[in-house]
Amino acid sequence: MKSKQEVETRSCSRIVGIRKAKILHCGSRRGRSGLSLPLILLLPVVLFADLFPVKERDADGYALATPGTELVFPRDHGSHPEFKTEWWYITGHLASPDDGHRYGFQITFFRSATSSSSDEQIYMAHAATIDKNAGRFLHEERLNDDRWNADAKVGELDLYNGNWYLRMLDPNTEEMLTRFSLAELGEFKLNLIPEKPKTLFGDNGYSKKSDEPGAASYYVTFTRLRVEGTANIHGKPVELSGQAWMDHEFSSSQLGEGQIGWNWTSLILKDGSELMAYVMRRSDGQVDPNSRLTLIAPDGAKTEFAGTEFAWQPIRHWTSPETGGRYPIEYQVSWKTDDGSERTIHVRPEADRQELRGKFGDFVYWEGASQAYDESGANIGQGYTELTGYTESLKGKF
Amino acid sequence: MTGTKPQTPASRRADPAKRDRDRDAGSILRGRGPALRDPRYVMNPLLLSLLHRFVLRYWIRHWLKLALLVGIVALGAGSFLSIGLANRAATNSFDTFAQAVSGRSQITITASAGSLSLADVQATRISLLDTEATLVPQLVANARLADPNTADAGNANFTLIGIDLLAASNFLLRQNASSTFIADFDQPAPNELETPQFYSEASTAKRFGWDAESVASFVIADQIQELAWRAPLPRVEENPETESRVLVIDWQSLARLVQRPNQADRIDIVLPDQPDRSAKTAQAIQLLEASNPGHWIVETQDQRQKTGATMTQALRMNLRALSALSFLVAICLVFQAMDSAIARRQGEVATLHSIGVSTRLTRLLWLADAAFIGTVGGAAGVALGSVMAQFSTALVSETVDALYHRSANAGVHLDGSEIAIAWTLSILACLAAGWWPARQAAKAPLVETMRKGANRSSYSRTTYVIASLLLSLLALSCLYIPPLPAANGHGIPLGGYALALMLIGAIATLACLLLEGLGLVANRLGRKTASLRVALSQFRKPVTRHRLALAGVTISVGMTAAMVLMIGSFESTVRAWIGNALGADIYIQSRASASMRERAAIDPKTIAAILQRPGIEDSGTILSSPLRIETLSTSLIGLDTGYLQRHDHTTWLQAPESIRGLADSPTAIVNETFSQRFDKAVGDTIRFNSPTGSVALTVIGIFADYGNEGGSIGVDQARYRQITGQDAPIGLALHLKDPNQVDLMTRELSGEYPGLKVMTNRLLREESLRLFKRVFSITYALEVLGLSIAIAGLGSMLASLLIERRNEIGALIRIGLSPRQLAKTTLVEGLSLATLGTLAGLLLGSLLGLVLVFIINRQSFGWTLQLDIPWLQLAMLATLTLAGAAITSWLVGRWASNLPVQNEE
Repeated sequence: MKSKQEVETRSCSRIVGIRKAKILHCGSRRGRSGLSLPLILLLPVVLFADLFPVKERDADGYALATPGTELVFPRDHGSHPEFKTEWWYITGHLASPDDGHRYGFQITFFRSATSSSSDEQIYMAHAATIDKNAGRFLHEERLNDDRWNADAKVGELDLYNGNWYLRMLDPNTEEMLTRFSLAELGEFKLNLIPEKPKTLFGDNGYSKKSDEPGAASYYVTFTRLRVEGTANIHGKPVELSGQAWMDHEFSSSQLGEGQIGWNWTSLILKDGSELMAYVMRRSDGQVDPNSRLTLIAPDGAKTEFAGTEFAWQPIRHWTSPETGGRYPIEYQVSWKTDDGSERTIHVRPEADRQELRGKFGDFVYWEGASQAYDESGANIGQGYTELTGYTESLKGKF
Repeated sequence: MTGTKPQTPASRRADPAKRDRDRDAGSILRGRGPALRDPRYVMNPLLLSLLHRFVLRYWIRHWLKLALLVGIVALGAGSFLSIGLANRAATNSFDTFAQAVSGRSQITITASAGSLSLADVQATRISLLDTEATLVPQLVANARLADPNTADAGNANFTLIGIDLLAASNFLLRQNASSTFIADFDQPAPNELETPQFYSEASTAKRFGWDAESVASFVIADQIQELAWRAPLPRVEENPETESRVLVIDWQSLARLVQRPNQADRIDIVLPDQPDRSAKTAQAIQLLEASNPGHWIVETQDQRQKTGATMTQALRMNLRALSALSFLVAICLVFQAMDSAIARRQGEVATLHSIGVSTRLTRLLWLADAAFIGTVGGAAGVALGSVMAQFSTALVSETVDALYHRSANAGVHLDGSEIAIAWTLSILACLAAGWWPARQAAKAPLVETMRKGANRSSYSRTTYVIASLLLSLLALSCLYIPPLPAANGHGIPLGGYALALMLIGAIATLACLLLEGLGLVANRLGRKTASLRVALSQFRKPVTRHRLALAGVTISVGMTAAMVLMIGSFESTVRAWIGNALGADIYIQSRASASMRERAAIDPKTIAAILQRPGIEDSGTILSSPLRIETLSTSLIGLDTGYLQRHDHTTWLQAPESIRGLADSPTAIVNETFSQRFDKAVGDTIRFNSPTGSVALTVIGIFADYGNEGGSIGVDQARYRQITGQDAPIGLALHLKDPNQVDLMTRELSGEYPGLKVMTNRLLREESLRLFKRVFSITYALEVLGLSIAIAGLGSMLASLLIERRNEIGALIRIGLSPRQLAKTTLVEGLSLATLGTLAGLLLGSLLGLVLVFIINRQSFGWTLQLDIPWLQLAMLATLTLAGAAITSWLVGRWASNLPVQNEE
């Protein structure tokens, strides 16, 4: 579950709605005269692929996530246009063996259907990097419709937004390739190789979001990816390697009433395990019981904790000089283990200034590379933290 | 005839007097040191002193004369520069509209025929996924303000660019632009309902009074469409302001308005400004070519600019040649003025020689004099040319608009290289003009000059005879020089230009030869009055100034007469062609059509509705689309074969056996220009790529067409639709059952379809001829300029001669010649010269006209014109020249009568 992304994609759909009504006046784009060659080539995939079984739809006609639906791969790595929102979210850590330079990166592809007939899609993408040595944070965003400049294939993982893309190179190894660029830094082309089997969160990938009916998503994650690739930093080629985390989630659900934002973290730990936690923050200051902490053991086994079974304790705040948002960028996550002992992981950001201020959709959040420390202060891994709803309440906005 | 014969080095060696003079001069100088003859003396204080006394002080004293000379050079240089700048603006304006948001792109993709489809755009995107490049697909349409009161007709035309506003916003955001197309989503504009919105430059919005509440009506395709002005056009800060006639609209909105869903006319590809951009561009082109389904034309922006430039190449080259003629006239006049000055200042030169100044130094002084005039005249020419360019650019743009493509209205850019060329040419021209007189001056025999006074320089009759014969022979040989292949597929008429130049020289020389004869003949006729006798006596011993002024008038009149003849022939040919081609009663096109090449489409539904009206006996439609064959631009025309069978108004150069063949087999008819550019005759096969595959058409006929120089291929409409995927005609012809109903039907259709231009046969003829006249608007300006220079030169020549003869004038006045009689004398002298010049000019013009019509035009544009001599216009030209010469001569005479008898030079 990554509610921020849902908000983002809703933001997209909102933009699409406005765009359609006020800017483009494009009418139905399905009035295309005849099938073009690429579309014809797609036909076999569409006709013969094992289509995703939709059991329920919401009032608007969008497909709903339902328990007991089996996810099939590589089909379900691809796009699900019958669902309202979908995202492929990669965060990771890179280092150059040449000069020891270290980077954190985020590349996220969002899809949002603007019509329940699933034939009109809007695509958004965010890319960000943090130069861990210099503390320099850069980010960019993209928004395109599905006419020509963005697409996500059904039945396989192959999507692009402008010239940023993500595709699965081999459905057997599930190795992926992504490319993104930042005008002020350069281009990144990274191979993502799973080092552990993918994790299906919730009930075999069915992840319930709130108590409201239909509020659920399908949630698939590669919790530990080896990254190998190159970057062209200011015109200079650089070899890079590192680790990454990738979420893929699709749903048509809405945010719960009273939620104003959330904190989310993913940690890749040195002992071969991973941690994912999110806290849904409510306007009354309480934590939503649908918050979750999930531990993934080195063998892939996962353990989940409900919102009442773990604590997210802010340690240090940072106030954005641009937006005034006050983010708890350093924090501790604590929970009780099976043997009754308490574990605490201290998460500290690589740099304070990792706030994304998107111009499309007017949505501000903090998404930053972090380091994880145990109770003794030893570094035990690295991760990414996401903090939303700190500049304004998201209530009523999405 | 007495005169100073030019001396060859050999004759100088053999001339003992010359050797003595040099030796004498050397002996005088010996006391002052040998440095004066050393090449290094250029920095000698004596040279500087002489430059001041001989050149600067002289011109300061004779500032009026300097002003006139500078004015003449400035006119020549200014005309040359203004045409150069206008040509450059016309070349640079090609395609600039397309870079409204993205700035200059590195690569452009267009379709060889028809449009690019959405699949093409997607394929382009996918082929460049690994390239750091921004893609800007665009749909382009013409729009015209529907309300004639909003703007005058000239400013009512716009180019509507449909772009993907979301994709463009990504680009703008990435470039840190201050605004994007989606920056103000949350703030709906007051004018925002279901009306499509457009963006313009803030200055354009201000000019037309558009604000956030404005809704403007435009003719787009054949409909009146309301568009709401949204905001000033967002763009990257460092990009220059977009061309003011460009409006930006959402791609799909425009596609809907012009009935071209999911089509693009071009894709511009912008690569980041990095040191390795050239290499990246080359890589991107490789990737695109690898994905090219065959009908993409992938070009760098430079290649595309060249493609655009080749479209106007012939026009620009011919304008350059014409403007260079003004320079030639200016050279004659400077030569004449220099010669005059040398004649008057020979005493000074002789004095300089007598005090030991070497002949080399005096020659240098004269050249410095010429360079001074060239420098000052060139500078004034640059200033004048810059001003004139404002007008010439507009005139050239009119021609380019009418014939080729919509040129940008970006204003005149003062190009450094054009300025440098014009200025350098001014100096070189003056140096060339001053070289011979300087040589003459340096050789002035000291004793002879002291004894005889000022020398009235002239050259032997034999020289002129030899020169005219030689030039005539050279002219004849130029006929055999073949044209050079030009980048636009036509030829560069090198032989034609050389022939024109030789003819100019031959006729001007011949006129000079006749000058003496004129003196003898005229003197017999003019014995009755003193004024006539005095005036015409000048031609018994004409000096070089007379001949040069005569040459100036001859060239100017010749140049103008040639243009008159060429335009007359063109107009007559086109008139006949239009007369033949226009056989229907009513012609209909969109009011948004911008030029002959950029015609807006009419919705087939509109045509179907029109054809439902009673009273229509027959109708025909025509479709047109740009076509690329290899790198060359041409046009594909969709012909209504059935209509052509019923009403064949084509002017055939080679008629097909049956026009029906167009519909039955993959055949085409081509116009003469196409046939020449692409070297295709009847029976040949034309091959090109289209979105539906490769096309092969056999040529079955060739027709005359003066609509463009790019040529066109005519195919049956069904084949046209198959090739281009487009089915909207650009024109409809109606034949009525009752010809008396033409005016009524025209009125009714105009009222019912305000987006359409409904013209009767007569109106279209007038409209077509008006358009052709627009094509020649720049040549009219050059005609006026050429004549002005000639008349100014004539005045200058007369003034110099009268200053020279001021003692003689003084004597005449003392013996009772009134200022009026003196003016009459100069009037006769000037008029006689102008008459001879005009006659020679008309002869020259006729010959140049033939060269233009039968050689230059045919090779440059592929047009065969019927020769037509516009007698009335030629008579007007002669009258104007003579009237101008008469007025100038009279005024100079009146001015001369007030000259003091003694005046220090």
